[in-house]
Amino acid sequence: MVEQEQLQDILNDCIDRLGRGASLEDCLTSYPAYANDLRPMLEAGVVTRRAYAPVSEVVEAQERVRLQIAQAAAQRVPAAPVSRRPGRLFAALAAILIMAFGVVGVLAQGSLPGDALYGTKRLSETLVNIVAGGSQSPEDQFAERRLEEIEALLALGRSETVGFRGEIEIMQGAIWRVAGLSLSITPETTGVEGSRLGERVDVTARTTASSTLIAQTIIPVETRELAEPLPEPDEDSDEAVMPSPTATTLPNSPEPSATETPVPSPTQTATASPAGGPSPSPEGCTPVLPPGWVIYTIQPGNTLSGLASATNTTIDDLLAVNCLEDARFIVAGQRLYLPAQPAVQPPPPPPPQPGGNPGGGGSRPPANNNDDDDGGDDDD
Amino acid sequence: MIVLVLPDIPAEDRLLARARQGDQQAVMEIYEYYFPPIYQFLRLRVSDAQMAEDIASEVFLKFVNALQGRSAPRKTLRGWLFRVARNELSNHYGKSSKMPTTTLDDWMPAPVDTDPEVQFMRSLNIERSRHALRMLSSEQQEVLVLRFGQALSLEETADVMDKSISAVKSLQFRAVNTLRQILSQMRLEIDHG
Repeated sequence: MVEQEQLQDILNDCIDRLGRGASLEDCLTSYPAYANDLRPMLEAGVVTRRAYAPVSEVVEAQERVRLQIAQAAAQRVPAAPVSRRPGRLFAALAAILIMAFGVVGVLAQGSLPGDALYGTKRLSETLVNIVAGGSQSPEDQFAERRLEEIEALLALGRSETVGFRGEIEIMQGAIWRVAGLSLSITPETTGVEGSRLGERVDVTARTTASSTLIAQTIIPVETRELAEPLPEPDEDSDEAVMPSPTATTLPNSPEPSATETPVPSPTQTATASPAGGPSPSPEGCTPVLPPGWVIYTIQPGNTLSGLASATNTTIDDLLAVNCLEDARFIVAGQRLYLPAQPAVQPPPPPPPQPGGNPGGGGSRPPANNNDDDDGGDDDD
Repeated sequence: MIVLVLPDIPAEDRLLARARQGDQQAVMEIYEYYFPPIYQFLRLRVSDAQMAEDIASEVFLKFVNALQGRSAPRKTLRGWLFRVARNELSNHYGKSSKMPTTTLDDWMPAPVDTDPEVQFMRSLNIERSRHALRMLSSEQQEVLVLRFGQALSLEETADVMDKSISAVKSLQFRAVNTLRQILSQMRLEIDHG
């Protein structure tokens, strides 16, 4: 009996040591008198680890559950002193959704830009706005939901294009705050010049893998509405319908196509100017134009891999020199440092058109739900 | 491939503190870090992958919801998560019904392996290892998964399992010896099968 207690203690010590990374043999040599009894016990215990699920199974399950947790975190954990809560609207919303969309409509409420059900979610919100009539509350509620989605995307480190509306609260150099969200302004951001503190603006931006929000366009609400009257002139609905670029998640940069392979041209050069170069990353990495490199304006259809091969360099080098974090995160019109100018340069990009394509999506390729980078809706 | 979470308590404390202050990034870091061990723990205890995934998701939703409240984990996050996972498991199966265990009869002998005991144990694949583990009692399975699989300390394990330290010590002793017997029997069946 005493001996068994001793053996229990020794076994326990060995389990602790295994847990700290020691080998089974290490422990056996510490207790030579017990080695014969201990070995099969420890070997049996280690069988537990052999019963583990394959890593791929764990990773897939983790992918599927991640979105749920990020959204719960975005809703439950107040990110700022101001807490945002889906309020009394919810019951009415649920009823309408079940009538109009069935269970899918309710499920879609948890979707994020880039998810398959996200279109359903936006459509259902438009419907609720119509049903709710002149009430002010739904629009604000949906604006909050939009912000929650962005927070969830940031928490996930997922790269998507998003749109939201809000007041410019802080303008401090390249970091602004709009609607409580901290926004990185880059030289490529359009609409920066005309913006004033306290102004209400529509913002399109991109969430990045490093959880920053990079502004693409900033459009004052009034300007856009004067230039481009919204389809529903109801006085209360001015906040309900966002123009297409802000309402839709755009697909990621197109994949490299076989036909588009620009060839470097030794004749073309460009001069470097601090303002014309790539945007500094929020981490403080500042792009520096290496000797002999040129500034290139990204054309629609360009990909980083295409540009890298066209200029005889690597994606990694381009990422490093340009302080980019994600090869997928390049947009037409953005400026990039390249070792050489690709010879066949498509026509210069059209000037940014604030508020163009209202209510559209028609002129754009359909959002492809970006299944490739979230994997969140895989079935088993 | 072995997923083993080694205790790194100070880092865990900092992360938990950030999560409690409302840092969503910290919540997601905790998720990324602890999902695999929690999932593995559950997966060994249930025979269905989907069920393990659902329960794991429930565990982390509980965690997110608990962050602001009184039941929030305060000291050991890992212990808290495993305890919730354990509770969810028993909720799932109900207090009265037994968790799934299998018997030797269910087990189909696999290709002949005439090596000695230890060689046999080392040669086990996932299916056979799981099969052997599931022949143990629920508590024996749990103590082995927590101590050997997840390297929880004796104290943490006692906390998760709501037992005294000495009870865990003798439970783990019985568990390894029972598992050893099960494995020997398996080996004999293969030899004669």
